[in-house]
Amino acid sequence: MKIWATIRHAISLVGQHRKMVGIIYLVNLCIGLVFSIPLFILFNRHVSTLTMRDDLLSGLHYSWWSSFNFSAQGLENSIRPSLSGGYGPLFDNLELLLTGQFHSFGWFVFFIALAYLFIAAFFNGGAISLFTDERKSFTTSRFFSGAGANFHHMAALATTSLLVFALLYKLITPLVFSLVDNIVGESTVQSFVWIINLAGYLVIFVLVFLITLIFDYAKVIVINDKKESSWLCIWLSVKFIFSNFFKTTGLNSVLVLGAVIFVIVGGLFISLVQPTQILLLILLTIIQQLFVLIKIGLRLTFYAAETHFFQQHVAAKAVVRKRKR
Amino acid sequence: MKRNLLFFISLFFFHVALEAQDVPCERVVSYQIHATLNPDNKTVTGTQQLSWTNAGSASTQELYFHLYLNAFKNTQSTFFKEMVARSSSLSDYISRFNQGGWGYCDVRSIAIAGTGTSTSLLSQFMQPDDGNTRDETVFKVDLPRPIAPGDSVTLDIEFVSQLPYRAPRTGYVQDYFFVAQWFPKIGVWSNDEWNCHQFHAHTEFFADYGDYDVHLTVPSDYVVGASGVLSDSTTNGNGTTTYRFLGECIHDFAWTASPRFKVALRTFEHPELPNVRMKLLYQPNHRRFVDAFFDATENTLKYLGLWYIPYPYPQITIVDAACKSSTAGMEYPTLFTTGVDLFVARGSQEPLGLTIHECAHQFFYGIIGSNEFEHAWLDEGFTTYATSRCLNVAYGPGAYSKTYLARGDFGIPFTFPRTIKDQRDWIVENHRNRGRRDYMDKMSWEFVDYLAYRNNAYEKPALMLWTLENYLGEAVFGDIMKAYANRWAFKHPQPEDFFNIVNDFAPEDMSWFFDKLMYEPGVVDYAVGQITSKAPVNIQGYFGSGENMEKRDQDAEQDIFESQVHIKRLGEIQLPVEILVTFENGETITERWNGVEPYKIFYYANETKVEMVEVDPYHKIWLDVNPVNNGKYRTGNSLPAFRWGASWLFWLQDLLEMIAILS
Ligand SMILES: [Zn+2]
Repeated sequence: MKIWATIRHAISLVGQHRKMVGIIYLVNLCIGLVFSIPLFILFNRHVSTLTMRDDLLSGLHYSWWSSFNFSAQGLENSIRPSLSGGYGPLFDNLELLLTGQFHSFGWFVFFIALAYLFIAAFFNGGAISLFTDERKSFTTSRFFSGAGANFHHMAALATTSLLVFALLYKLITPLVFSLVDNIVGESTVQSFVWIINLAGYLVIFVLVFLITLIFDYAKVIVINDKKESSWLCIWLSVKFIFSNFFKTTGLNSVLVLGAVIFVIVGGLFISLVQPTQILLLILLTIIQQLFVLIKIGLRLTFYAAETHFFQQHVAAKAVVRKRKR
Repeated sequence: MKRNLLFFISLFFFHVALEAQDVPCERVVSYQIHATLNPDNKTVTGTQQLSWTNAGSASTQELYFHLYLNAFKNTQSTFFKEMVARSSSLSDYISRFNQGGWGYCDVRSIAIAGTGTSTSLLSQFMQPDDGNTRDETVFKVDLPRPIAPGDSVTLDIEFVSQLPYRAPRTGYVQDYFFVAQWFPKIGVWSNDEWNCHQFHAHTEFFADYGDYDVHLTVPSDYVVGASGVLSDSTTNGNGTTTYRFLGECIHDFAWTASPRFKVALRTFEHPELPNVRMKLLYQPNHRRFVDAFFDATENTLKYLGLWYIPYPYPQITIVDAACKSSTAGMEYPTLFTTGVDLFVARGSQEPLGLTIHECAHQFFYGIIGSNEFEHAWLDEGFTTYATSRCLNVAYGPGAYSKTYLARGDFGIPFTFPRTIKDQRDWIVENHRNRGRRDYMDKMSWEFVDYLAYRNNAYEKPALMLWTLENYLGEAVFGDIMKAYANRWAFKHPQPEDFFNIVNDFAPEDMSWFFDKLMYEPGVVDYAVGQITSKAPVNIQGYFGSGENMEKRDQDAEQDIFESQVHIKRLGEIQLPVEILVTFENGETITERWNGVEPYKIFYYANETKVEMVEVDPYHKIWLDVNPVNNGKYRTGNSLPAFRWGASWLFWLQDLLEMIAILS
């Protein structure tokens, strides 16, 4: 089984079901708009008449931001200098994955994200059920019926995943970093302190990687094998991953690398546009939205690749069994 | 060739001659100290001969001394009592000291030199500030005979200093020793009384000028840096080396020793200023910051030298403090500490900012010896002002940077070049957050809390000086600063001394300005309120009287728009302000308002509508805590909100998609 072949196949599979990417993107956009339109109105009230408004097109004027932030409450608090440029928003979010500080932009944002987690779980069911049956083409009704039929499994897995991540951030992360602090001790060698801390974050990253891998294959197995218990599938997933450790982690490592390259390139494109006038502003918005669209496609590519890999593996096993007979 | 050589030799001697010039000051003290560092016990054992001259107008039979290190002797010191209010750091320090050792300075003997007797003088601890009888940071010695004005006394003192573990501004961590506030130091006999304050949670220091001749014995593999200039060194044969440092006309002496230091030397040269040897002791992994440390120091010596007073000493020692030591960012005469993270963001201007600030203290603290206990703003406020001025001129504005995954000494810094940050933005930001806490001219330990101290020692005075400079004009203010520096070099100025110089040069008596800012809490904030421009109303109603009264209903005679502009005072402090009103036809009107009333309404009748109104249009009043509300258009434009709304939307969408990974 070749990693590249699996990924190529996954990409074509997502391409075949591209409407699904569009549907998920639209839902993502609508939820985003529900919160960003009131924020826009509020924000507009603050800045539309300021003489500083022209500076605010090209960058986030620090003195403006600091005085705005001084009296900002609720959602307004999440307006911040790191939103300027392409990488800030992406890095801010990636940081959350390693620290678990999901409430750092306010509890309101935290609860929106939590709600979205279950919406995503709903769509995951639809997407994976389409990927498991490759002969059939995309129809919206098949997508939604797949999502509906598997939602109880997906929601159960998402809830379990949440609990596991809570355990990671609340229990394991402090343990890892108390170990880091013990190793660092009173060292005054900054490079040593830096490397040991970085190693701590790498451990967290590997754990996040493994947990998502386990829950991804659990989703695939519960749908592909039409299992009754999603909890059992977590165990089957662990067994599957560890019995094919290098292949499963290798596949996902390549996919993660692809995602990293995508973030670097996408961030660069967004950074390049300085929206000093309306056309450039529209261009910037289009690039940002394209980024989100592709990112959704990329996430589905993970599922497609994992589903395909799992099916190939099962098929190969069946052939071996037949031959033995 | 030979001629060239001769020329260089003569040039060398000329340089030495130039550098060796006597620094002019009234020498009140003279210290000769022999001290030995024991890195294993973390102690410094010393003998000290102190000559003190009574420069006052009355005689005294008692001498007051600081024993600053005793602040870290136990939890009953005034330092710790005051730290209770800042409980988070308090427990930090207690656990630190329990882990790595407390600190103290123990005077083993004290006697008058040359008397032939070894009898110890009677001494006792004093608590002039708070009466905390357990505080041992000040002690008094009773002399057998009074010292008349102009007379001197010489004392022989033996002491042992136990260096605390990672204490503020002093102590040790691993094999890095920063030895400051370490010897029994005489107070200041001023206005015929002793000015000798205890060590408080957030006060600094005050002392008289004089000469220091200090012999430091350390293990031979240690690199040493100290106040003054290295005169010679002797290898002792027992694995130690003794370094002799001479410091002229300085008011404190600090030193550092560590086997890890790397040393770099350069010379500051400027056609209008004396040469200064710059000695940098840096951490081994900071090789790439060497240029930045030197560059920042050179710019400070250059600009502050040209603006205020030339740096008069032959050498300056820059110490790149070890991380975890709590000693980075501190000033001592002819020596200062700075520091830097392993990685810094482009545009964050580190380590420039900190280096310039501490080097600027060589002027406002080192050369101009104000009392840091009583008028912290005279050193910190002036230094903060001068730092931002120097940074602005030498480097321009910086950019916002954020450190990702920040954890103690770890973090991944990232710059956002689109978010421009003026050197003064952080000062305004901090002042906005805490500007209403307390007022400026107070004893440092009497401020309601640490933030009030920061506001009134650093931010408010720095912004006050920027505002004053803009009010009086750069040239007049430049003369004021130069006169202040030259008149009060090697002396102890009081706030009134600065006010007097301002009044000497300013075209008007500026007492109103200082009265408002020094002795009243509060902030400055002016804002543009409502702007309206309306078409004239039609001519309607009754006109005339008696038989001539008629009812009219006709269009307005002229197309004149009636405009109203509201200016608001939102802060407590009242300052006169300028208002610039711009009409749509490009016409402008400048108004001047005394800024006293809470509101001021200006009325206009003009061919066109008002386009824009700016209060303090040239941003002279840096004290204004909210410069954003100073300029307003009459009509709105939604593009900026759209731009940031779209970016916020993008961030939220990306966040949602990232959360989906966890599903
Ligand atoms: Zn300072």
